Amino acid sequence: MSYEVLEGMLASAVLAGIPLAYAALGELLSERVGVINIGIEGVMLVGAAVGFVIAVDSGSTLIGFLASALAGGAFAGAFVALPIVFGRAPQIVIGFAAWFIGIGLSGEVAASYTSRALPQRMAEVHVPLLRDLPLVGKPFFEAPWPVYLGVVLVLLVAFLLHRTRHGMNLRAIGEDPGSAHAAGVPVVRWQLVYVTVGGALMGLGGGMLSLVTIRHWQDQMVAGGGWIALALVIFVAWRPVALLWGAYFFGILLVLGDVGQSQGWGIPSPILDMAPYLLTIAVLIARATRTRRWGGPPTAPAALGSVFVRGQR
Amino acid sequence: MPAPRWRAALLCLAVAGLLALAAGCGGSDSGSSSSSSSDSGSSSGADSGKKIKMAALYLPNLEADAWSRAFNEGTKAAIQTVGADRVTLKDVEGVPYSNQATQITEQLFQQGNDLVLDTLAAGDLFYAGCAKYPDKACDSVQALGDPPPNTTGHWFKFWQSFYLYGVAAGMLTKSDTLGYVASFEQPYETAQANAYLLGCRSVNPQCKVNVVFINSFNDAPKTVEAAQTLVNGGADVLATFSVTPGVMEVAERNKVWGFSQYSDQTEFGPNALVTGVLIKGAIQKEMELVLSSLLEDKPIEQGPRLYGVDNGLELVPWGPKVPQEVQDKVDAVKQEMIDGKNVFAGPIKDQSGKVRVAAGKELADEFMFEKWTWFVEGVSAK
Repeated sequence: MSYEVLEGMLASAVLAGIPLAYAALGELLSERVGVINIGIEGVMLVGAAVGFVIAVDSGSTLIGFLASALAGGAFAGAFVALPIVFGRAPQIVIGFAAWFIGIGLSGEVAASYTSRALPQRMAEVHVPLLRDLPLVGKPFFEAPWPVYLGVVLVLLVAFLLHRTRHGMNLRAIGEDPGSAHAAGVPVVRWQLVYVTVGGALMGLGGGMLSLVTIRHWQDQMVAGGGWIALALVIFVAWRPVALLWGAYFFGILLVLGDVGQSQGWGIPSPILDMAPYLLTIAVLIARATRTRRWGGPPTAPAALGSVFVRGQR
Repeated sequence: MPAPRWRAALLCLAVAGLLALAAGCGGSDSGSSSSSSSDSGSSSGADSGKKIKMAALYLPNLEADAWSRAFNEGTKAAIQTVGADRVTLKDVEGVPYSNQATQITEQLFQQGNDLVLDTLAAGDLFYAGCAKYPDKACDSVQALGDPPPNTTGHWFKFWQSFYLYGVAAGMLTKSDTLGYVASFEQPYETAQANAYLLGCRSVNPQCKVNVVFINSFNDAPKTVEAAQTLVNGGADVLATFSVTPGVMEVAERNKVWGFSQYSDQTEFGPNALVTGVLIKGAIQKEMELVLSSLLEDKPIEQGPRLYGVDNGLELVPWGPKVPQEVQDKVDAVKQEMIDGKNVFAGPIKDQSGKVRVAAGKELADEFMFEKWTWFVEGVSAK
């Protein structure tokens, strides 16, 4: 594999991976307050569709990108947070419903936009000095600005969750909402807020796909990215900073199949397309067994998926 | 505090929503019918006797991609020609590759349609519905396999358009490397990769073609990733069989050349555009033939009829940056094809260097459509 191919592969991996990081970050926030939102794919689709439509109509990709966050947040708030937190509906069922609703809604919203092109490109940010690094310089430091925003948001969430009192309260909700409630933490409020904020981040992930990575709208264009993001959260054991490495890694796996074909590695293309998912399983198993020696595999927030009813423990 | 009843109600709502969605995914024929019988040119059919109800099946929605759009436009144009007052068209969107395709086809016949057009190449799933209504007519794009007697078919000689792409690309490329984002490993796709290479070699003996299969016709992320990977590997002219405009986007972004496919995708790569195949004209001819035969109670040959550059397959106008000599050369080769020249003539070697088509022998269209399973020397695939 030549230097150019490797460099190009890393650049493609960044554009494929960062939308996953956005979405997984949203899921991580949501899961930290005890709500598992498996409708990521649907939320991302809504963000991608609305972002694209608004970008074309307004003539500004920036406005489109912001709209994708609003749309993702509104969608997750209405179809995930409200039914789960207020309605106490089973989280898995609601997540699936949100997935299907997202497919339908996004397809309808953007139905007449499939043959439309974006009015402008997202500006690239060139980081001085770092961009001259060999191999990683161009892929990582000459990227469109939403790539950097993603990194900043990941760091912000990491700080919020692990370095602030508010973050400690949030994690307490995910571990034991009864105790958190007894300690005076408004459980329902923060669950509503962070499932919605998580949805906004998933919306940004979708918006980055339609506005930066792929740059046009196609029905169901997220193509499983939401499910990869769900796996990614488990893969990094609910640690935000690790999400970045995880997302780059998954991004590389996603483009590896094409590289293998164009480089003539001789592996059948359907096998290479399965590689990301096979490796996910392998790595998850490896991780779970390996860390047992050091006190067990990484565990999910203890109250993840459970229904919080005030006064019941 | 919400009472348990409240929760039950919400759950019911969610379930109801899911059911409605499931129904919406499948039989979307209820909401999306569009009849194009508004035109009142009633004098066109002299005997004005027979009228036809036809339905067309689409995988996504009508506007969703270059392929579906071309079918919709081509069919509507044909209806205008044979008499808009004699044909009603119902568009059925969101037909999946499952036994729902069979059920929808059967339902359409039950509702009194005389002809169903399958634009998603559903194959046996479509034939199963047609076989139960032997008095009605079906038209299948691709029509591979074993269609029942009432099912006619058509396909396009994309190997011709890819040969022309190759001629243009061979003159435009600086790296002598072309990229092809292919869908599935089918003979006609192999033929397209080979045609691309042979066209290129006809003007540039150093030329090679790198192929990436994405195992989908419409996976937008895969199309973009594959195209970018090909550019990273040195390709500076891109072509695709995907219905999404991703290849044009990537070509524009990387300042390389790209071919539009099926409909006019100039908008996605105004500077990158070389040219691209248009299938609307061929679809119009096919539907005119089928509809007029049905209206006049004439039998239709089963086919599949293969439409080439001599019969409806067209090219989009040249991109603004394509040099005149390239345009002239491709136009000349295209004219030779129209005049009946077979450009697929031996000697042709396979990837191992063995001569598979001897000098003086020519490949038939049927071979390229259904039987070409080996890649030509210079094509790198897998």
